[in-house]
Amino acid sequence: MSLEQDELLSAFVMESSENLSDIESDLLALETADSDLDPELVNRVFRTVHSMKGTANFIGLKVINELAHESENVLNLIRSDELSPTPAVVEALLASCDQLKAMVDDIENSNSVDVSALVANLKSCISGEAAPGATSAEDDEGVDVDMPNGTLVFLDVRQGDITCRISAGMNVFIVEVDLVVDVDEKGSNPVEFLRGFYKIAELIESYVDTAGLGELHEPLPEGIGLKILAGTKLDSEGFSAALGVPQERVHLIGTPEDNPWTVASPTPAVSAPPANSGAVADAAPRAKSEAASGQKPSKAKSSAPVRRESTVRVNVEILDHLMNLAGELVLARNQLLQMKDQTSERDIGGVSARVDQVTSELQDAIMQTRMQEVGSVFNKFPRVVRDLVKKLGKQCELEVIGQHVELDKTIIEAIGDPLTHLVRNSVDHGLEMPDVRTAAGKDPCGKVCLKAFHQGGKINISISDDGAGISAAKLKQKAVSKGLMSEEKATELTDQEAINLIFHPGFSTAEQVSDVSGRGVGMDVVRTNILNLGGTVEVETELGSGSTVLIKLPLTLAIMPSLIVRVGRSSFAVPQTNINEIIRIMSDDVAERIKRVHDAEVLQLRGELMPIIRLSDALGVDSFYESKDGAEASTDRRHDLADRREGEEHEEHPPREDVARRECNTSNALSVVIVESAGHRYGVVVDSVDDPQEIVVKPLGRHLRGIECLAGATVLGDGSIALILDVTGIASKCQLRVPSRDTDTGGAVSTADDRESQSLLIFTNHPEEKFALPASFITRIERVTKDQIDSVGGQFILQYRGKSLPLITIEDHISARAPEPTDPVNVVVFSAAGRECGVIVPRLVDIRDVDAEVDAETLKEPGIIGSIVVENDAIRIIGLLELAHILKPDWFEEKKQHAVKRGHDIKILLAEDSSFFRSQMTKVLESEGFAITGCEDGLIAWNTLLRRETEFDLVVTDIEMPNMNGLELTRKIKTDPEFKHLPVIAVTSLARDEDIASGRAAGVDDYQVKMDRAKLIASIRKIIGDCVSVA
Amino acid sequence: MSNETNNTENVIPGRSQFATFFVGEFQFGIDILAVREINRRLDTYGVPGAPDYVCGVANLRGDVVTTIDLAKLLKIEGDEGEVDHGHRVVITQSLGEAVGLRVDRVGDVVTCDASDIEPPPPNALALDLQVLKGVYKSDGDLIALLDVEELLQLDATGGRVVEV
Repeated sequence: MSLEQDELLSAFVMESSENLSDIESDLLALETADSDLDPELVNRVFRTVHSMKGTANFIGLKVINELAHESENVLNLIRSDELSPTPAVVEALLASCDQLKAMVDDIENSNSVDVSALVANLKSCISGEAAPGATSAEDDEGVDVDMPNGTLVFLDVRQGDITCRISAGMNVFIVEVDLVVDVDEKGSNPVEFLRGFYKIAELIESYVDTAGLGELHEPLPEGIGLKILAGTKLDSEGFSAALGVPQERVHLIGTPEDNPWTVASPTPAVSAPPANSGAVADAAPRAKSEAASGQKPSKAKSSAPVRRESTVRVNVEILDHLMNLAGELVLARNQLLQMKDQTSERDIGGVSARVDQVTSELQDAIMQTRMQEVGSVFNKFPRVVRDLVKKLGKQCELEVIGQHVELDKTIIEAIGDPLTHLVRNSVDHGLEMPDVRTAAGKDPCGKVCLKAFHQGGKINISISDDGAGISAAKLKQKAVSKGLMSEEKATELTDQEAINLIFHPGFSTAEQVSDVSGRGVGMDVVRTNILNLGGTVEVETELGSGSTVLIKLPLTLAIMPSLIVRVGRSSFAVPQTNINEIIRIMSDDVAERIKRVHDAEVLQLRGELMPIIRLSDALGVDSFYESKDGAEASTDRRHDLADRREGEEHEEHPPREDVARRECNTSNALSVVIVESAGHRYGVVVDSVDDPQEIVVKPLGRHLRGIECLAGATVLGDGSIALILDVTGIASKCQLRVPSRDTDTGGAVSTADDRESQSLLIFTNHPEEKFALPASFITRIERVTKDQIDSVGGQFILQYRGKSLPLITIEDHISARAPEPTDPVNVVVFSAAGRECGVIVPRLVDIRDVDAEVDAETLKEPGIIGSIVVENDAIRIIGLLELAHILKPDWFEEKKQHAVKRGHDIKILLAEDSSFFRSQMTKVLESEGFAITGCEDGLIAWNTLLRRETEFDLVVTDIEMPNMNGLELTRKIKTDPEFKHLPVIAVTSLARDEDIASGRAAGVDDYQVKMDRAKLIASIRKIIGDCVSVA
Repeated sequence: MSNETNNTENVIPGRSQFATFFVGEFQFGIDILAVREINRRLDTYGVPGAPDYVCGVANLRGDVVTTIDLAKLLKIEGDEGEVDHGHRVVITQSLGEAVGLRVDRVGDVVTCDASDIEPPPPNALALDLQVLKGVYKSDGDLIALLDVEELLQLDATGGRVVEV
């Protein structure tokens, strides 16, 4: 092939592929436009096909020319209003359009493609209305047509011939004409008869039964059978009258009423309907698109094509080169900026400002050339959904929002496949069948919404459906049945973790693997693709009301705003898209803000516990912390971030160094970068945080591809290299778990579960004996060395924040084995009777939520309030208040006197069915100086009230109780004239909004979460105070 | 041309030039066409989590280049304690990517006929035969000629200890 020809070809391919994708959306618009056809729409499609035909002819692409020509003919008729764009016609055009696309994509072999079927199909569209009898000699897909009684009449009739007539509003009949009786004996002849026939009907096929005729010399037989397959607008009565053929010999085969465009079902069946007339759901998808501005376009303009602005085609190679240059310029700029800092001369300042400005502008401009609207990807989805819905028999409305949002070309190209998969998933797995939807009280027509929008410097694309949602339980079950994990492990998963299972390789959620989306490659591929683009995928789902997949993508891949952090001597870049916030914890606050739970360190951040990872540990590099002058750097030997007192404890250091170290400790605040990715949110502890920079991403070589913590590298302004951190990879390397969105990640409040549970801090004293402390009592946990603890008169005291904290050892007060000496130890600080007190805890094990199935009897002794069994270990729960009582009875006496002194001995009626909670709460409230009467359920409480032995000031009640629940009790109290003044506080582990609402409806004065001691007491005080002041 | 080399993997047709270098006491050669440049001092930045035969990454005029410690890759026992007097980094171009090979010393460029190259002696270098193209004898020295592409596909676990 000559060079010139080659160029022509590639120009043709480029132009045609663009044009064809436009045609598709236009055709779909044609289909939905019905009667109010936009002539411009048809014209546009016509012109496109016409020019394509012309070029193809010129280059010698015969087959493309042929198909384009035939499509053009059909379009021409639509344009001149001679043919209406019925679904059948559009279908035929779409099929041709697909074929054209396929041929253009493989232009070399296009001349050897067989398009006869498509051409015939298009021809039949034309013949159906405009050119009767112009049937094509070429074979369409043949069908056999039977008589009503089952005898075969016509062999291999072209399907298209029948369908196009039906779609043109005709009835199709088989007429049995007796040439002797109906024609000859009426004084007519066959030619005359057919001439009359043509006036009222279109002949599709005819057949003369010559078998019964016999030889010429024989007399004419009783009848000569002529069988005609024809379409007419007349009904069978009119047709028979017009032909003069008895009605019993006119057989109806297909009518437009059965179905707009199939011949499938009516009794005299056309067997083996070909694919293009398969069962069609009556709901063609109503593709609806919405401009980013929010205004809805008129119906006729729906699924608007991407408007082509005047564009210049730039070779991608050149573009990439430009990008690299811009990148280098950014580097040079960085270098210059750094130079400015060092030399601080004014001239350089001016130059660098200019370079800075120019670079940024250049970068922006070049970036613009690469930006494309996501609409170019979104626009193919109306078709995808339309085809899918037809195939599945579902109903679906696709809403497209924000197609004008722009993304980098490489990203646009790469998200096509993942998005297609997700959209298919939504329709296939997400949406229910119409009847199921109706039964669930939903609109039978499902809704899939595709939305692109900017947020926080990222592009978000969400695909949401209002379907069935994803069942976490089902996913767990499936994971177990597929052998992906053990049953125990599955039950441990949080809901969010379970949902994330769909990203596990080889996971398909549909009950049956359908040929639509269940192809074995699934969400894992989607996720990998998105992650490769530097993006994230998250799934949110609500059972029964739908799922949303949220994709977050960077605007561009080439230049990435990042934060440079340092660990030891290495620099690392954290993509800013992953960063939530940066926290600096002053060294004084470190001990308070950072806690150790078991082996993990957590950061207290606005009442939330957040896992933190030391970057040096995660990457296995040395961490340094430098003294103020930066001259000496020493390896950080602190194993525990909470332990900031190292300087004081190493007495073997010479005094000068000790001072230096202390100095560096105070200057050494902790930098924590809070990052978020793929559902993980955690803190990364780094040595120092540098400036944010726009970095040029350089890929790592093939020997370094497998490192999960790294996403690439970049060259910094000083020419050194910083590795780019992969936030998701670090999380998975450190085996962080994904917390469920709705659960508190470790506070004292248990999950909003129906079971009553409380969270316990589990620890060992002697290695073989486990104890637990109710976490809600704990103020904080300190790590101290033995030498900080003094013994004064048999009492251990910790000098702590300028006060002395009395310490309790477990073995001195409870029958327990003495611990093996450990140093340092943990001190659990709690408050009792308004004072602080500490328990020495040699080794922490875990914090976990356990059911309130507490055995309050078996291991009972002073200081132990019950026991539970967790993983075959008996764990004794220590009553901190009791211990404090043993240690410092005088505190409680003081408190009581204090309470009495206030002249109001407050009596509280407590209704609580769990003896464990009842006794704990009694102790808590008694320690505050209240008088408590405990009752096992609401009924007993009510009867206690009725006995009137005590005059109560307040009722504290659980909600879930046998015999009479808390709400009933409250209603009884609030409706009784004698007791209705009694304030009621409900305590429960169910703290959901609806529970609170129903509690309030019953008349509850306040609602408190069980075990939140401080709040409960505050609430009691407030309510009592209110009553007193009212009184 | 390409067919020819494919068919006779261990024989190089015509004359070819090899850049030679030393790792430990061994001399190696690679096709000079695969060498982009040789650098004297290249600041290398360690990559946490990288295989142990990777020294790290270096900034080669704006490109991030992986540098490989040939001694470790080929499992050549070196004197660990020995002071590093000016190693060199041979930058090779392979599969559209620059990769640095850290070597102890750079030797001459040798030009040789295909006939001078002997097939790798089965007892000499127990390297992966894919990596070793052949052996060239010059003035009594043995130069092991390496295939760069194969070399860079070699994982440290795949290579074996060199025995002479």
